[in-house]
Formats: sequence, structure tokens, C-alpha cells
Amino acid sequence: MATDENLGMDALKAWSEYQKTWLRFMGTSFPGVPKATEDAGDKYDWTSQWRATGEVYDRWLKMSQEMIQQSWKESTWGTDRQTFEGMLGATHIYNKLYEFWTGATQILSGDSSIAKGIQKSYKEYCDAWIKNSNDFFNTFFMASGVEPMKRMGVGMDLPKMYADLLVSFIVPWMEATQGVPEKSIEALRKGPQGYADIYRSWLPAYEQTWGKILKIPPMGVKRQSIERLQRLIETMIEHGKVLTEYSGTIYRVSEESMQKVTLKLGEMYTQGQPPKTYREFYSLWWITNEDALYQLFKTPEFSRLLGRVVDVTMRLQQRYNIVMEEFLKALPIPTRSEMDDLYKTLYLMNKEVKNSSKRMKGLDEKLRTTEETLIKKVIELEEKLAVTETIMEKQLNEMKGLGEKLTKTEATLVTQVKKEEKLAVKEKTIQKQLNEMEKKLGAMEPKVEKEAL
Amino acid sequence: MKNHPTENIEQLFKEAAETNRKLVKSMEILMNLPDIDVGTTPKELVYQEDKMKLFHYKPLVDELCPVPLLITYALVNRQYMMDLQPDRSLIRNLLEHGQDVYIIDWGYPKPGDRYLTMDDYINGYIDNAIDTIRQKSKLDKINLLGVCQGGTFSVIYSALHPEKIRNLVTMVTPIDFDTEDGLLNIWAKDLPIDNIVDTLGIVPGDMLNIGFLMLKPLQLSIDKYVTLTDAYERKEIIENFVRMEKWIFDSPDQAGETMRQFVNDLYKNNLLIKNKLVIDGKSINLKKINMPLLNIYAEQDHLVPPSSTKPLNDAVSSKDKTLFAFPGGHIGIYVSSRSQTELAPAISEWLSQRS
Repeated sequence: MATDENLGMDALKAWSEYQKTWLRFMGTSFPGVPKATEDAGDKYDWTSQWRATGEVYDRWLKMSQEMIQQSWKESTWGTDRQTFEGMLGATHIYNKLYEFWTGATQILSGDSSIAKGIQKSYKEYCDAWIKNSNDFFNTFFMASGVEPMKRMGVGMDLPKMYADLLVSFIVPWMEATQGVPEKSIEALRKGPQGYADIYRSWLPAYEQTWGKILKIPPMGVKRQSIERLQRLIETMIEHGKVLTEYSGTIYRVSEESMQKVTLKLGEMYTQGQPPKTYREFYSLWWITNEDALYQLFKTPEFSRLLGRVVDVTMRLQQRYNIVMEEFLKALPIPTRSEMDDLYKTLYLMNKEVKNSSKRMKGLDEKLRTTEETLIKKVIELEEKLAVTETIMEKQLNEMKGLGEKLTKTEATLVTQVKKEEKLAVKEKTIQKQLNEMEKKLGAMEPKVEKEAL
Repeated sequence: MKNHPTENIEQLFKEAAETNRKLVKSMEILMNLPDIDVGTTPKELVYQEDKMKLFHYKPLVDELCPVPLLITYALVNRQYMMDLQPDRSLIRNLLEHGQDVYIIDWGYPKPGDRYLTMDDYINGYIDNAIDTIRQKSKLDKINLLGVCQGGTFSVIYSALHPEKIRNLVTMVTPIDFDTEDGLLNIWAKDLPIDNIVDTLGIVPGDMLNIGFLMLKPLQLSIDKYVTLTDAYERKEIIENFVRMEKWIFDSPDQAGETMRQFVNDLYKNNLLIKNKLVIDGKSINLKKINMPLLNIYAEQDHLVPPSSTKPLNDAVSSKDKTLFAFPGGHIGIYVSSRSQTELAPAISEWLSQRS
């Protein structure tokens, strides 16, 4: 099944084949053009031929670009596509510059037969060329200005909305304003600078008329909705104003740079030291432009202008979002601000979960450490207990020995006590006997004394 | 002497034909290019959190530096610039010199990531990645290498958690934002970042790209392509070009709240170098960075000018600190031949001596 990518690749291959054919064609075409070595004399119409070939080349270049853009419109080709687009764009600018170079060289080298066909003088030629050759600056810088808009999804709708607004509000008014149509014609000749001039002269008039009407406080049920639309329109106008200032600033610098380049080229020819190759001239051109832009970019004025471009673009997007959300309210789909609320809740919950997990992890770690310490302590205690037990057992054994000894001693003591008791009984008996004897003696004593007497 | 008129016509055809011959040839090469691979050095996923992934590169030599190295890249653009192709890979070079390398891949933020803050990146993702590596390597401290904005994050992290960082390496890292040497520094002062973030939530990568292209509009949008068509006969040059092109335009969108703080606190108010930046309620004091520091800057850097990078060495309290000047630009520092032959060995040697 053919995919978009395949289709894109097929188209590219076809394009590539076409290029090859074209190159073959270039080698064999224009048979009427004499070789450089031949004497052309005055019979040949060089001017027409030069123009004709230039037109063929122009047509080819435009067709190639359209073809490639068409081929890639729906393709998903990635980086290679970007690279090739970059190359094609750069080649286009390179070739455009080459047109200038060729013409300028013809004039400066005094090749009048062709020079007359182009312009009357070098200055005139340069002026005309500069005014009509701003491809790069118009495409790159204006694209940069609106790129965020494209990303924001406004790109597709805004131009249409903007155009509708122009039709219903601005265009009729512009036509009624004296001088503006003439300026528009002038702008066609002058290029972006001319359009910037129109814008500048138009804006104050707008602010004094329609701008004021738009600021009239709305009333009734739809008051808020109308107010939102009014704010959007106001911001669109402001956006156009700032963007015009921005592109005008870039345009001025690019024009000045090209003038510098043409002057430098003239000087080089006057001094007899023209660039030896086209590449040399091309380098002079891009480095001069790059330097001039850098000088502009580093000024605080440009920084502020760039900041204003971004600021008004963002405000326009905000206003647009508000109006869009108003339209979408009736549909069963979530709006951006509702999604943002959801994202915030999710973010906060996720953060809370993460913090809690981290805390729990910390607590787990502490618990594990405490558990380990406790186990260690229990083991230590158990070990101590075992040692104590051993000691106690030993002591018990020792006490056991002491018990036996004690029993023996006790028995001995009992024996001794018994002996002592016996002795005491004996002593008592003896004492009794002694007492009796003393008694008997006592009784005998008076008899004895009597007898003695 | 005047040119013969036909010489000019022929010359026009010749030039036009030549340009288009180059274009067709380049086109043929582009159509037949194999898939362009980037970041091919083998690695494995070791940790994942939301869109952030932590990869560990497979060692390329037996003898490894004992302390692992974590590389933290910027949120802008992708980290594979450091491993663009085998012969232009700072990472492969570090591995070959014995470094044990980990890298953070930030992924591609989506609208739901708009509220992520610098705190989430620094105290969340980076801290968790570092803890993972510490746990795996059973070490208290590891080496940290921060690149560009990732370098700024690494510096902030090292000031908050010096106990986890053995050596700090910063590459093209903005620290002092109050300079007029770079257009980004000038333009950022007037950038309505609050308005941008409030409006878009996630800041589109393409928006940043336009800003980067505007730094050198003609060189980056015309001349480099013109120069490329000159190389139409050398397939490898076109391949390398496409690889670089892929990287340049592979720009993730940016988490709005992080970008808001980065622009307001750093680009506009320059709080980091003044030790006034606050992350998660804690002041960042650069004097708390006491570990050895290797600060690398590119002499021709147009994105992060040397005047923004160099002041770090005076702001920290590290006694062992080195300022390394690389003769090149912000991109050349990763992919130039000089980067491969001089820078990678120098970083590796510096780390090995201190690990």
C-alpha cells in the first residue's frame, strides 16, 4: 500500500529525473546562440536572448520549488526533507543574487549591448534590483515573527479571520480614505517598505475612527462575548502595527546592506580589482548583511522591539484562546484551560506522591537501620546472656560443691551439737550430782562441826 | 578588455547548470541515504522517572575509573550531540579513556509537564539519578559533568548537595548572565517570558530554534546550505551534515515553569552569581561548592559567551579549580576533531587524578 511517505519519495524521484532531463536540455538548447569564439557581430539580438534565457531559468526555478513543495505537502519525510528544503531555499537566494551579479558585471564591465537591455545605469539597476529582491528577508524574518503563531495553531485560522475582518471593517474604510489607494500602488513598486508606509499612515486614522467605534462599551445579554471579540480585534490591529515596525526595521537594514554591497562592488571595479569569482562576490554579500544585522540585533532598541513582537503575539493568542473557548463551550470537549487545570492537579498530586514515596523510602531506610541495630543489640545481649549463663552455671556448680561441704559441715555441727547436748546433759547431771553432793555435804557439815566440837 | 556577450550568456548557463547539477547530485545522495543514526554507543537503561531516563554506557576498557561520571545535558536540544557519530563522540572518547559514564536523557516534555519547576529537575530528577548511581556503585560521592544549561543545574545541585559530589566538571555553562557579549543575553532582558508561559504553557522548541537561527541568520539559513551543495561529491560530508541538521532541529519543547524561572531569575535578575537564587525554599550559595572544579568554556561561543562562564571559578570555595579554554564554538566543543583529540583526554585525565 502506498503511504504518504512513499508518495513523497516517488515524487522526489520523478523530480530528480526531471532535473536530469532539464540539464540535458540545457546542454542542447538555444542552438541559435553562437559560441563565444564565433563572431556574433551586430546581427544577433543579445538582449532578447538574455532575457529569454533568464525567463526560462526563472520559470524552471519557480516550477521546481512548487513541485517540491507539492510533493512534500503531505509527506512525513523528516530531517532529509528539511535539509533539502534548506538547500533549495539557499540555492534560490544564491541564484537570485547571481542574477544581480551577472547584470552588475555586464554594466560595470561596460558591456553596453546587454547593459542597455537591462537598465540605463549601474545605480538605476542596483536601485531597481534592491527594491525587488528581498526574498530572504521577507520570508525568513517574517516567518520568524509568525512562527510561534503557527505552532499555537493560529496559523491556519487567523489569516482567514484577519482577512474577513479586513473585508468587513478595514478595506471599505481604506478605500474611502483619500490617498490610500495611490499609496497602495506606490507600495507595489516600493515593496515592503511601501506597505509599511501605508500601515503607518493608516493606523492613526483607524484609531481615530473605527478604533473608537470598537471601543464603545457593548450592552445587552451578549455584552461579555462582544467585549472579548473587541479585545481580540484590538490586539490584532496592535499585532499588525508591531509586526510592521519589525519587518520595516529588518528591511531597512537589508536595503542599506545591499547598497553597501553595490557601492563596494562599484569601488572594486573602479580600482580595477573586481571579485575574481562569483563566490567571492556572494561572500561579500552575505557577510555584509550578517554584520549589519548583528549591529542591529545587539541594540537595546531592537531587543525591545523583538520583545514587543513576542508580547503582542502572545496577547493575541490569549485573546484568541478566550474567544475560541467561548465558542467551544457548547461542545462536549474539554477546553485548553480545563486541561491546564487538570494538568496542574495531576502535577501537584504527582509531586505529593513522589514526596510521600521519598519520605516513605526514607522511613523504610530508617526502619531497616533501626531493625538492624535492634537485631545487633539482641544478638549482643544473647551473647552476653550466654556468657552470663555459663558463669552462673559454673557458679552453680561451685555452689553445688559448697552445698555438699555445707551438709557435711552441718552434719558435723549436728554431731557436735548433739555431743554438746549430751555433754550439757552430762554437765547437768554432774551439776545435779554436784548439787546433791553439796547439799549432802551441807547437811553433813553441822554434824561434822558438832562432832568436831 | 570587454567580455564577448556570449561569454556572459554561457557563463550564466554554466553557473546555473552547475548549481543545479550539484543540487541534483545532492538530492540523489539524500534520497539514498541510509537511516541516519545518532547516539550509537551501547548503553542500558538503569533508571526511569516520568520522561527522564538514566542510561549507563557499557565500558569500552577493562580498567575503569573507580568513581562513576554522570553527564547532565541541557533541556534545550538533545544529549546525543555528545555521541553524534562514532568518530565524533565525546562520550565514546571518555569511555575509551576509562571513564564509567552515565547520562540523563530528559525526553520530550508534553503539555502535562508545563508545571515542572527547576526544583523538580534539580532536587527531583538529578538527585534521584545521582542516588541511583551512588547506590549501584556503593559510593557516597560521584563525579558530575554538566553541559550548558545542564551545567547550571549541576552547579546548583553541587551547592545544595556537596556531600554527594566528588568532582564537578562544567562545560560551556552560563553562570553570570549579566553580559552583553551574547545576543541571547541581550534579548532575554526584554523577553516577556511570563506572558509566553502563561499563554503557551509549554514553550515550543521551534520558537527557541528561530531565536538561535536569528543569531547568525545568513550563515545558518543560506551559507551553510550553499556550502553543502559544494560538497555534493562527498557522501560522508552530506551524511554528517544531515546528522547535525537532525540534532539542530530536534528541539524538545520546554517545561514552562522551569523556563520562566530560568529566564526571570537567571537571565533577567542574575541571581545565581549573586548567591540569591532560591530553589525549594533554600538559598543557593556557590561558596558551598568545595569539591574540585574543572570549568570548560569555548573561546568563540556565541550562545554562552566566555564572560558568562568564567566567573564560576571565583564564586566557589573549591581550592582545586581549573579554568579550561577551548579554541572553538558552542558546537565545536563536542564534535570538532580538537574536541576528540584534546578535550576528552583532558577531562578524563583530570577526573582520574582526582577519583
